[in-house]
Order: sequence, then structure tokens, then C-alpha cells
Amino acid sequence: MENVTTQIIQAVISYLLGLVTGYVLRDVLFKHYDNVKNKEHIFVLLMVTIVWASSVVADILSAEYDTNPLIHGLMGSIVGFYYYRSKQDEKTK
Amino acid sequence: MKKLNNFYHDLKNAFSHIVMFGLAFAIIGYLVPHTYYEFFDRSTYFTLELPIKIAKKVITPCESNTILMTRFASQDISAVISIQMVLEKYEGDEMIKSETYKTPISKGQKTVVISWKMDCDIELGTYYYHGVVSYMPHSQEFFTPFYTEKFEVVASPSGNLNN
Repeated sequence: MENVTTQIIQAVISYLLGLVTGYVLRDVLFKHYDNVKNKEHIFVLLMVTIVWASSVVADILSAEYDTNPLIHGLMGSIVGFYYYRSKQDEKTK
Repeated sequence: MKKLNNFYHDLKNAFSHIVMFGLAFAIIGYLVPHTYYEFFDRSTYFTLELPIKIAKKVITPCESNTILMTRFASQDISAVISIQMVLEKYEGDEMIKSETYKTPISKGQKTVVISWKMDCDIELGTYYYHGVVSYMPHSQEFFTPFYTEKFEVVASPSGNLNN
């Protein structure tokens, strides 16, 4: 039971941290790329890349944590799609 | 027709980006931690208190002896324990019997008890066990060799021994 409570607390803290980080990053990014069309594409691209990089670091730091290569691939596909979209946005600007 | 052509071209480009990035992320995400664990990781995942203790230092044939293995694991691992019973001889030690167990090892320190029954026609003399624990955290194979205290196999008082 104690273990479950700890996991719930960890999940809530992670969720709140993610929420705050997302808002802060979005604000910074949107101010920085004020003239860029479809900033959401760059935002998603950067966020997924950060999450992917974090999962690679977590794989190294935590011996118990192991990300499935398919999840890495899925994140890469999302980044690839949004990278392509942002390139298209640049062209049509 | 031109619209369809453009759509096809767009789809092809988008798909190639998705596949390229997906592959690159999967390969890098897989290789970076594995390279780290293969070449740079110096963590100790599993240790044993050596020499491993033996419950009975003097034993008679047909009796059971107990190996008391005190181990420490830094994480839950699945391991294979290969253990051999060896008879000390002047001309060179002789392996008498060997066993292999596949066992999960939980995180933390614990004393594991392994019971080992002596054959009734076992040769008298000084014995010990030695072996290796192999485990694969992060798909890298690690080995922890071990050995036990020595113990004597003596004739039983009832004298039901052939040799």
C-alpha cells in the first residue's frame, strides 16, 4: 500500500512538473519564434525530442529503467513528421 | 492531376522523414545506453559474501548439507546459478556433481539456503563447492564466481558405507 501511495505521489509530481515545464517552454518558445508560422509544430518537435533525450539519459542513469526501442522509434517518427511539417511551413511562408 | 502528383510527392516526403527519424531515434536510443553499459559502466549489480558458508563442516554419506549464500543485489535480476561439488585430491581436484538453477534474485541483501543431499556411495574426503552466478542486466552478461568453505565427508558411525 505504501508503495502504491509513493507511486501515486510520484505520478502527480511528475505530471505537475511536466505541466509547468510545458507552459514555461511554450511561453519562451512562442516569444522567441514570434514570426514563425505554426509554432505548434516546432513546440511539439522540441518537446518530443526533449522527452526522447530524457528517456535515453534515464536508460543510462537508472539501471531499472529500460525504454523499448519501438517507443524510441515512435518518438522519432513524431519528430520526423513535425520536422517535415515545419520545413513545409518555412517554404510556404 | 498536378494536385494528385503534389499530394503523392508530399506524402512520399513526409513518409521518408517519418521513417528516417524513427529509425535514427530507435537506433541511437538503443545504442547509446548499450554502449555505455558495455564500455563505461562499472556498477556492481550483484555481490556474494565469500567464502560461502556451509552448515555442516563434517557430514556422513546420505546426509544433506546446506549452503548458506549471503548475497546483495542492487536491483531485481534474473540469474542462473551453476554450482559444482568438488573433491580435493592430491593429483588434482575432481568434480563430483553439478547443478544449475535458474532463479530470480530480488533487490537487497538476503541469505539463500541451498540444500544438497550427499549420495550414499560418495567417496570420503574433503569437499567444497564452487560455481558462478550469471545474470544479464541491460542485456550485458555478468559473472560472479564463488566458492564455499570446505567440509569433510566421513564414514557414518553405523558403517553402512562401501568405501
